[in-house]
Order: sequence, then C-alpha cells, then structure tokens
Amino acid sequence: MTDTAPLLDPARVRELFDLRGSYMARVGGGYEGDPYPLWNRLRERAPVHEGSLHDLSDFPGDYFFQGLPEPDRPHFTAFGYAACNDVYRDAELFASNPEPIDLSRPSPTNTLLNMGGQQHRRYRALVQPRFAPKQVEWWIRKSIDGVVHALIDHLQDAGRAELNVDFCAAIPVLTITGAFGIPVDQALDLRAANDPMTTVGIIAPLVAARREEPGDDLLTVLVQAELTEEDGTVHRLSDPEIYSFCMLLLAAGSGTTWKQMGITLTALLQRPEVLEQVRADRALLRPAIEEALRWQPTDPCFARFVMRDTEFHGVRVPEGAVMHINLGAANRDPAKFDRPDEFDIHRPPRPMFSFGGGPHICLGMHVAAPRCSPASARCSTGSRACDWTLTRRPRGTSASTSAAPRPSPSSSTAEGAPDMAQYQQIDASLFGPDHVRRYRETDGEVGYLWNGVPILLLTTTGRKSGEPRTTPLIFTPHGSDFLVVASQGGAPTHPNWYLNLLERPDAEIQVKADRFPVRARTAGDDERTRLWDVVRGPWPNYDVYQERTDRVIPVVVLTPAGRTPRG
Amino acid sequence: MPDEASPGPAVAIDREACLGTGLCIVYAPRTFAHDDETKAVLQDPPHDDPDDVRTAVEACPMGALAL
Ligand code: HEM
Ligand code: SF4
Repeated sequence: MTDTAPLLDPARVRELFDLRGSYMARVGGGYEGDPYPLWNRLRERAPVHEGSLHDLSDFPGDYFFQGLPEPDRPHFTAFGYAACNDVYRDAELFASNPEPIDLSRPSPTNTLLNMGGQQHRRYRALVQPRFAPKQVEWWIRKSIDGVVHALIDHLQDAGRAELNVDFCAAIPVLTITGAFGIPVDQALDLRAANDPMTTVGIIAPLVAARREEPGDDLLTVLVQAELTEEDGTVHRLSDPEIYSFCMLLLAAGSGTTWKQMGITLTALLQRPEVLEQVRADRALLRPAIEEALRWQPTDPCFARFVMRDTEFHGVRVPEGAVMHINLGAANRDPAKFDRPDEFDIHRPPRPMFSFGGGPHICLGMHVAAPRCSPASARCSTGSRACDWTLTRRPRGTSASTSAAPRPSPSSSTAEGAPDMAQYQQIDASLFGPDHVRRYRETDGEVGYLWNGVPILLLTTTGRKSGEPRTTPLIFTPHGSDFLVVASQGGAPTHPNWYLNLLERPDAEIQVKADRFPVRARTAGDDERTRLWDVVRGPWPNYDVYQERTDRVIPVVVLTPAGRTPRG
Repeated sequence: MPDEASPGPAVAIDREACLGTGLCIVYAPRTFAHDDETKAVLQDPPHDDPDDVRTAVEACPMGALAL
C-alpha cells in the first residue's frame, strides 16, 4: 500500500487531464457528439475514402497526430475492417514513417512507433519480453495494485469522487511513477512538460541514476537492455534512445489508459443492468473492458504513409499519401460484428483494432487491460472497488454525520439504499459557456433539454465585476415561478451565481426563446423542505449532491418581475 | 519451421514472423504459450475451442499463424 494518492493535487490533475483543454484540442478534443453514425454511413458507401478523417467527419482544422497535419500530402481514410487490416498487415507498403528516423535526437517521434522493418523488430524485441502477458503480474505488483488500493481507500474516505480526475487520470500518472521509479510530483511534471527538452531534463538524471544503481523498474530494463545489430555487434541503448523511448511510453501509455478507463466506467454506469451483471460475476469484467475497447477505442484513428502507388480497395492511392486508419469504424464493421453499435459484453471474442495491428500493435496492450480494470486488481484481493464506485450512502444519512464512520459499501447496499441506479450518469457533452452559446444561438433548440431535464439561462450581475454572468441551470417550474438549486454538484461552496443573487436579487432568465427579468429569493427552512421534494423529482441527483456537502444546498425561487412573489 | 499440432485444428507458427505480441495467447490461452524468446509456441496438448483458435490465428498482427 502506498500513500501516494492523497498527495496528488486535484487541481493540478484536473488541469492536466482536462478533456476539453488546449492539449486535447490539438488532437481533436473539441469534437462534440457521436461520430459513429456518420462513420457507419461512410463505411457503407465505401471501405476507403479520399480525405482525412476529420475532414470527412466535417470537423475541419489543423490537428496534430500520427500522419497529421501533413498539409502537402494527399489524405485517405480506411473505414472497413478488411481495409484497415490490409493497411496494418502490409507495413512495407504502409509505413509508419515516410523516411528513416534519426536516433541520435531525443524525440517522441524517434521511436519504435516510427521505425520500420528490421530496425523496428530489433528494438521491439528488446522491450517486448517486459510487456508480455506473463509479465503483467510484474506490472501489477510493481505499480498498479498499490496505486489502485491507495486511490480507492482515499476516495472511500472522501466519500465522493470525480472519477475522471480522481481516479481515471490518477492511475496512469501513478503507475508511471512506479514504472519509472519517480515521485508523484515528478510524474505530474512529466505530464505537464510540453516540449522534449523539458522531458529530457526530468528523465536524464533518473537514467543516470539507474546506470549507477539498477533498480526494479522499467528504466533499469532500458538501461541494461542489449541490442544486437544486423552485423551481430551488441550494444546498449544510448541516452537519447532511452529518452525517446520514455517519451513514447509517456505519450502512448497514460492518455490512452486514462481515457479508456473513463469510457469503460461510463459505459457501465450508463447501463445499470450490465453493471449489475459485472458486479455479480467478476469474470465478466474482462469482457466488459474488451467490449468498451471495441465499442469506443480512445484513439479511433492512426495513420500510415503510402510508399508506392497502389490500387487499394477500389481507390487509386499515390505514393506519398497518408492513409488514415479509422479503427473505430472498423471495430463496428457489421461484416465482423453482429449489432456492432450495441455495447454487449457477452459477444464472442473477435479480433479488433483498438490496439492497432501489424508490427506496431500496442506494446502495452497486456498491461493496459489490467490497468483499465482497477476493480479487477482490487477484487482479486477480495475488496470491493466496484461496490464503492457504484453505490452511495443511504439517503437518510444527513450531511452532518458524514464525518462519522460510514456503513461499509456493501452494507449500504444490503440496507436497500438507493444505489447508482438512482444516480443518473450525466452526458456532459454540452457544458458551461458552450451550453450558453448553443442555447442562445438556437433559442434553446439545442440545450433546453439536457439529460432529460429542462434548462434555463440565468444572467446575474457579477458581484465583483459588475458584468453580466450567464449560467445554464436545471429548473423546475412551480406555479408561475422557476425553481433552481444552488448545488454546484455538491461542491463545498455556493456557486457564484448564487452569491451574485444574494448581493443583487434582480436577474434575467431565458427559457427557450423567452427572456424576462426575475427576482430571486432563497426558500426558507420549511419551504425548502417542501420544495426539495419538488426539485428532486426530475433530478434525483440532488440527493447525492446534498450528501456530498455540509452546506445546506439552497433552493432558489425565481419570480418573474412585476408579479408579487408568493410567500 | 512450422510446428505441427496434433489434436484439434492444426496450427502452424512462423517463428520468423512472430513478434511475440502475445495476442494469440489472449484468445486461445490453452493452445499458445511463449517460449523464452517471447515467441509463440504450441502447448502440449493444445486445447481450446476451435473457434477460439481460429480467432487467435486471425488476430495475429503478424500473420504468423496459419491453420
Ligand atoms: C487502453 C489503453 C491503450 C490503447 C487503446 C492503446 C492503443 C495503441 C494503438 C492503437 C497503438 C498502435 C499505433 C499505430 O498503429 O501506429 C499503440 C501503440 C503503442 N502503445 Fe498503446 N495503447 C494503450 C495503452 C498502452 C500502454 C499502457 C502502454 C505502455 C505501458 C502503451 C505503449 C505503446 C507503445 C510503446 C506503442 C508503439 C508500439 C510500436 O510501434 O511497436 N500503450 N497503442
Ligand atoms: S499473435 Fe502472432 S506475433 Fe503475437 S505472439 Fe502470437 S504468433 Fe507471435
């Protein structure tokens, strides 16, 4: 057991693992909605299309990923299973890099990922044994197990978690610390480093230290590894080679696991009956993870460079072109999978492309699955990660008792307490300023209904700035009034809009196309109790929010101005 | 040199092509194993559902397996 988890600074993790942040935006993180219906239609029309995937998906822009942006090359995208398979299998025709790479310069692109032919095989053979299935135990022991336990204990104590930040993102960060043998802060520094030299600055002393004194970690493996050249000479990896490899591992191993874990948890939380099956039979956890991988791989598109003119699945592709591999679409090819859009953990195992294919198939694939199954690691030691993640304390528990020892997760279920089935998983694809903008643009056509409940836009006057501030809020109509709840998801402090209203109760709301002035007041004690039942009906999550915080979550009554507020 | 399996579907392993990814072991764990060079070898006796063996053969990213 380590005590690393509590040391993670949540604000920093949140910033570094912001799905909608600038870092993700560079690789297309700004895309909204579900691309699969469109991809299905494109795949039905032809297995290979001219154009890059983002252009074909009507999401123009310059993105940075394998084979992107490359503005001077023609772009093509493979959508069908067979076409993607053919790209992966013929690594000579479809190369990972258009020219040989320069190993003397440390860069995340001077690695395995970009090598070809014999060079790739030699380097891959060097590290493959450490990543073989039977080595997974080493990884689990080394880094995964302790981290998962520490995190879950920590979350269990806290009683609540923002899973993306507190769990999904933390795991890869912390397992890197184990694999590289570095402290937590440094793992976050590595994540934050956005140029190769900063990364090298952090890694170089660690590599030097392992050369002096070997340890039981991946850096030591790299330092000691011996490479046999084609002519039979044996040499060790140079420092720049090791630095580059570390950069690749950091890039390939953390973002992927983090996001895939989120996808898996979301898929399960959205399907309480499937979740129930997995909880009842832990043997289903692995198929559930595999199915999440198939259904929504974190990185649905990779690319190769076309090395000579070719006729490929009916399309003429010139030398020098980039061939994007839409493995997300291939994973839903009906030629290979029945009812491919369904998330079905009982489907028979089939080969899929979530880890790529061909010589560059993910080196970490055997490590990734157990990493993605935090519960499985925990469960194997007889604990109840799943139960914790998915149950909550009994409803009657008042906020003031939250410091007292809590019923254990299993007992709260046994008491028949409402569990996650009550907690509605939120589709947060429309959020904050974006939500306001779309709502305004469309008079609520987009954004009025959100996760099944109606939304109004509340404009208050900033108490410090004096500027108008607009927030999308769930509301419940009540007579001619509008009820909103200052829950902020159960955060410890009142939301800004509420503080603004305390200072200046006059505000404006927009409901669909109607905009009108309102006057706000906080419901008094008895009234609040009555109104709580009104607001929690459509949005039971309010109960969960209230349990997360010691403050009494205010219910705010917005009365259209010009009418006498009701008592 | 291809190895021949006795019972069940006969599987040939091309050791030169095998990259040691271990994907075959995921799909058919009682048919394939790794040797000390992390190359695929057939277990003795190999036994898995023939469908699983076929899946493993198809899944090999190197095309190193054949029925
Ligand atoms: C769920 C998690 C993961 C997913 C979905 C994933 C996916 C992928 C994919 C699709 C590729 C192929 C790239 C290509 O075709 O060019 C790849 C390559 C790679 N992955 Fe992963 N990965 C995951 C986790 C990891 C982890 C945990 C590690 C390391 C600890 C890792 C290390 C690598 C490396 C080193 C490569 C390059 C291999 C080569 O070029 O020979 N990955 N990954
Ligand atoms: S799947 Fe193919 S490359 Fe991987 S270990 Fe098996 S035979 Fe070798």
